[in-house]
Amino acid sequence: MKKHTAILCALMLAVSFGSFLAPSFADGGQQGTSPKVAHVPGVTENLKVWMNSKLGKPTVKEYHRKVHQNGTNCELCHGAVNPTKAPDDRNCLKCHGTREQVAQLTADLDHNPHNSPHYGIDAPCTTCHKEHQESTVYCNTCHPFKYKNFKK
Amino acid sequence: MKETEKKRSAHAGSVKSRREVLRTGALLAGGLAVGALSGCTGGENKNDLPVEKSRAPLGRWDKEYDVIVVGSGFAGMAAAIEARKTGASVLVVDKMPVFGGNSTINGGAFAVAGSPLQEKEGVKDSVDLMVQDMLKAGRGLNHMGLLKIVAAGTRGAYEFTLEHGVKFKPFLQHFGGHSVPRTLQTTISSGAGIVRPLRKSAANLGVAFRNRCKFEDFILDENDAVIGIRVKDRYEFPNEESGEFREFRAKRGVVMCSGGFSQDRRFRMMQNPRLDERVDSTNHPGATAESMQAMFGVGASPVQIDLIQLGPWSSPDEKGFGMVSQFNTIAGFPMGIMVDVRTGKRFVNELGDRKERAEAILTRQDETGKPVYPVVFCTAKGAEKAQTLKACLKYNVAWKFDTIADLAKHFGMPVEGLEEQVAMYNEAVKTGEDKQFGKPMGRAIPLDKAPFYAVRCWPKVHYTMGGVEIDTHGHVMHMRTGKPIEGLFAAGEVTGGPHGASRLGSCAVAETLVIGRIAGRNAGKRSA
Repeated sequence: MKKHTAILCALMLAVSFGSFLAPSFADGGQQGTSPKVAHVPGVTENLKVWMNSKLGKPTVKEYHRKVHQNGTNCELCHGAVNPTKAPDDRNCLKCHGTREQVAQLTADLDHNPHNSPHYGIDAPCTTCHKEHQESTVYCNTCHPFKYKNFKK
Repeated sequence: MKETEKKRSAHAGSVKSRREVLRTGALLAGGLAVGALSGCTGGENKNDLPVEKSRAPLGRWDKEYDVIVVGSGFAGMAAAIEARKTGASVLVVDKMPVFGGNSTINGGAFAVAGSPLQEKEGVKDSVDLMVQDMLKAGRGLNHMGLLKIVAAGTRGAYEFTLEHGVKFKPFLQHFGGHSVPRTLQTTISSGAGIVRPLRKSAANLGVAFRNRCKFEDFILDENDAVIGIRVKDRYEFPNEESGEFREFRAKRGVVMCSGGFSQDRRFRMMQNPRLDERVDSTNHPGATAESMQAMFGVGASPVQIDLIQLGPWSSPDEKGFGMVSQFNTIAGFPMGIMVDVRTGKRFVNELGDRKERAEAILTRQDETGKPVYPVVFCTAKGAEKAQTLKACLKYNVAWKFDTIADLAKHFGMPVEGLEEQVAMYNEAVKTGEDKQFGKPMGRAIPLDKAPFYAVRCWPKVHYTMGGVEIDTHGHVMHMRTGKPIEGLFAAGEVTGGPHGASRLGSCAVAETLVIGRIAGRNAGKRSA
C-alpha cells in the first residue's frame, strides 16, 4: 500500500519534471553504461534515484537496481525489511558464485584482488564493494594498482 | 566465514559437573559468611544451586571460551595455536574485515640465531651475539629479561613455523645492524607467508575466528581479574557507530596481540608532537591505540611509549610501505646516495640505523616547516637486485635519467652542487673511506655510469617500540602492585621492552612469534 503510493507519487513527479530533467539524466545514463551492463536505467528510474539521494535515502548501484527492485528489496542483501546491519557475504555469493569462482573471474589480472597474497580469497566482499556509498580498493591503502573494471 | 568453530557437545560448558557443584558448596560452607547463610536456607538443596564467583549475572555472556586472543597477526596466531594445544577452546577476534594485521603485509624477514641454514653456510652465531646486536640498536634501553627470552627462542619459533607449513628462501640475508647474516625470509617476501599458514593451522586445530569484531574493553571480576571482553560485533572499520555490543567470557585468559599504534595520529603525537599529518605511516589502517589504552585503563604498566620508529626508506609519492622502501633498502642506500634537493649535497650516512637516518631526513624542511623531500639515486648496476624498481617506474614513484644533469634538473637541484657531490662520493668509494659521514663503503660502487634511477624519500611511522609491561611469561603487569594482572596476557608490538630505543630489522617477527607462543601457552594452562 505505502509502496504503491510512493511509486505513484514518484511517477507523477516524473511526468511533471520530465521535460526539464530528461536531457541531463539521459546523458548521465549514457555515460554510465558499458557494453556489458545488462540493465540500462531509464529517465524515470534515474529521477527516482536522484530524488532518493537528495532525501538521504540509501541509493543502489546502477548495475544492481533491477535485481534490487530499485532499492526496495532490502531483504536480498540484508536479510531484513528494515536492516540495521551490513549485509552478510553469503548474500553476495548467492548471486556471484563461490569465492573461488569470483577469484577465477579476475585471475588474468597482474594483481588478483580476489585472491591476494596477503588475504587469499578470504577478504569479505564489502571490504571493497560498497552499495550505498563509493567503493574503494582496500589494496590501495598500500599499493597503487588500478583496476579499470572496478565500479565505484 | 564470520565464525569457524568446531561443534562442541551440548554438555561442554553448559552443565556444571556434580563435583564442581560440590566443591563450590564446600568452599562457601567452609569459608564465607554468604556461604554460611545460603547453607541455612534450604540446606538440602544447596548443592544444586548454580553459584558463580563473579560479578557477572547468570546467563550474561554472549559467548564463552577458555582463551580469547585479540588480534590476528604473528603474535595472535602463535598464541592461538599454543593455547589450543593446551586443550583450551580458543577464539580470535579482529576488528578489521581481513585477518593478519601488519604481519600479513610486512616483508616476512625473520631473524633466527642458530638456524640450520647458518650451520650449513658456516656462519658462527649465538644467542648472546643476537642479544648484543639488539642491545646496541636499542641504545641499551631494552628490558634484558625479555630480550634474552626473545633471542633464545628464535630457533624454537623457527621450527614452529616449519611445523605449520611456512616456507623460506634457501639463503641467508644480512640485515643492517646485525653482526652476521641471520635473517630468513619467506619465499613470497611477505609476512603473509607466515600468517596465512599459521591461521590455516589454527583453524584446523579448532580455533574459532571472528572478524569485524572490535575489542572495546575488559570485564573484571570483584578481584579485578580479567574474566572477559566487551566487543562490538559486526563492526565496520572505521565507522565507530557500527556494530553491536557483546560480552565474551574468557575462562582462562585474554591474550592481547593487538599490535602498535603507528596509524593513531592523536596518540602518537601525544608521545612525539612532530609525528603530525606530515608524517604518514607504513602500517595497515587499523594500527591504532585503543586496545593498549584499555590495558592502561585496568592498570597495566606503560613502557617506553614515546619510542617510535620511523622507516627512513619510504616515499612520499606512494601510500604505506609501498615499493620504494624495498628499492632504497636494497639499492638506493647501500649502492647510491641521498641528497638534499636544495644543495645537491648528502647529509647523513645512508647506512646508519633507522633512527639516525629518519631523524636526519625529517630535518629537511623549509622555513615554513614544509617537507623538502630528499632524493635517493643509484646506477643501473646498483639497482640490479631491486625487485620493485620496474613497478616503481611503472607507477611513477621512481624515475630514470641518462645524465646527472638531467636528474638534477628534474628535481630542481643545482647541477654544479650535485656533480661536485657525486665526484666526492666516487673518490670515497675509491679510497674505501667516507670522510663526510662514515658510511661503510664495503658494498658501495661509484656513480659513474648511466642510466641513473632516482626516488624521493620521506620517513613514515613504522613501529612503536613501547607498550604495556609484560613479564617473561607473557603476563601483563600492574603498574601499582608490580604483580601480574590476573587473566591478562599480551604479546607482540602492543608490549614494550624487548627492542629498547630502536628495533632491529627482522626482529619483530622473532619477538612476536616467541612471546606469542609463551603468552598463549600460559593463558591456556591457567586454571579457570
